[in-house]
Amino acid sequence: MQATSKNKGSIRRKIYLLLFIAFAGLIITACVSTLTIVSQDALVTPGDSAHMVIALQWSEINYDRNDRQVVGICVPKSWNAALNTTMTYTSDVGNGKLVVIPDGITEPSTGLSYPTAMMNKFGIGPNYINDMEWVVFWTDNKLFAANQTTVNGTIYISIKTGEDYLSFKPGYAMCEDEDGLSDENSGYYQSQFGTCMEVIGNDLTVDVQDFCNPQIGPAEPSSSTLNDIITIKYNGNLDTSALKNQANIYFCAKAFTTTGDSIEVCQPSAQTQLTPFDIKQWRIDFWPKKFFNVPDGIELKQLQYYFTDQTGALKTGYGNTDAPFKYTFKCK
Amino acid sequence: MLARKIFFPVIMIMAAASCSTKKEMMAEPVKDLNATWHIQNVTRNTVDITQYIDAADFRLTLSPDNTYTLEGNNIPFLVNNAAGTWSSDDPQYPYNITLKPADSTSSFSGSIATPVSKGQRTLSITFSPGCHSNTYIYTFEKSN
Repeated sequence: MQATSKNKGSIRRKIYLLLFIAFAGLIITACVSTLTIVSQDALVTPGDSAHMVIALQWSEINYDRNDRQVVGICVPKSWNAALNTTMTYTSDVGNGKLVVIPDGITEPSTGLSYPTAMMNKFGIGPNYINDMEWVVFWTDNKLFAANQTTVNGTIYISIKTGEDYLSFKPGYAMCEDEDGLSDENSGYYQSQFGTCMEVIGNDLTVDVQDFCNPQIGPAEPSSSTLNDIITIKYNGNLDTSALKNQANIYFCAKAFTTTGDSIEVCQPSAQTQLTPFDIKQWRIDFWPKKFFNVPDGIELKQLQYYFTDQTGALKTGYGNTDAPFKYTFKCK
Repeated sequence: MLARKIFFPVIMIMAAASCSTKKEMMAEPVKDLNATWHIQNVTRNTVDITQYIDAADFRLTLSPDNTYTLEGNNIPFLVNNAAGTWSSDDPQYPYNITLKPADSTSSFSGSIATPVSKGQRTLSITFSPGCHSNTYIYTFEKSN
């Protein structure tokens, strides 16, 4: 009887030991990679190249690996970064360049394309305008790293910026193509968003699209025509007027055509009423051609708009002034 | 001894059965797009904006005689005209749909997928009605 108890105790200890080893294994497999932003241009002239440098470190702790390092960047869509980026690396296991991941390659844990998987996983980080995209690259060759080794690498990024004046916080992410963005064990992937980068020239009359700071009335997407769906948001938390306390918020806008005419829609109605989506935040999503009843063959150049209450007595403009918000139609 | 007598015949039968082949030709079904479709979901640049847009009345009817009608389109689509003709590139593996308005000489195409969701075939059309940098995916369900 005593022997049986001893056996049970021994089995229990073994189970605890196995559980401990498994748990310790999980902890050890965590933090197998790190991503550090080494440098990033603070101010870039539109049309010039923006430079970023990030440091990667990854450890192989289970077995020898021979796979590709995947690096994603989150930047404004208007940059068309897939076509305008050069990315190179130096590392303990070789130097080379990174190329855009070909179409048809999917992120292994979701089966989605890498750009979609990264957007789902990391979003646009601390940026306020959802007009950004993840563009994802991988090393042009597989990199061998033996088990129980740690590899250090540096990624040099150069992106030719667009002509738009804007400021935003670039995002960076890394993983290995065998693991992808798997959450099975943490640490297989890393992401970081940098500080605010300004892409601004000398022309003070050009509107600056500010992704870095909350805006009262931002609009997206940044590239559009009158046949897109435009989203305009009203952030009452930033409004100093009493409009933010109203139950119903309305959109009051004037559309300017390329032929020099203007079309105003400024009557409180179901069509112009904004939809709440967060605390003291509303939005309106519309098709400009239909909303302003633009005749066929006519294009729109700009919208100028305010937010009002039902009576029109309360009216909020750009930066809490009497000036309207402006949204320029451009397609790049 | 008895076990051996049973064992070998069983193995022989299993081996023989494993050699028989059964060929079934599974024909890919024709994707029947003829229906009146309403919008279930809309994404713009991969972001779901369905709940914020006015798509409740949107109806696209694709008829067997290859005519289409479009009603309640308060959001941009491949075409904005109410009627015309339509075609797809392959009835079994359709990858593109083309709509040609009745009063136009131009036709407009989008790539399509026809996945089955909850036992019902759905229709997803990917297209850029405005600026080429914006991609929309409209996912449709058949209206009853």
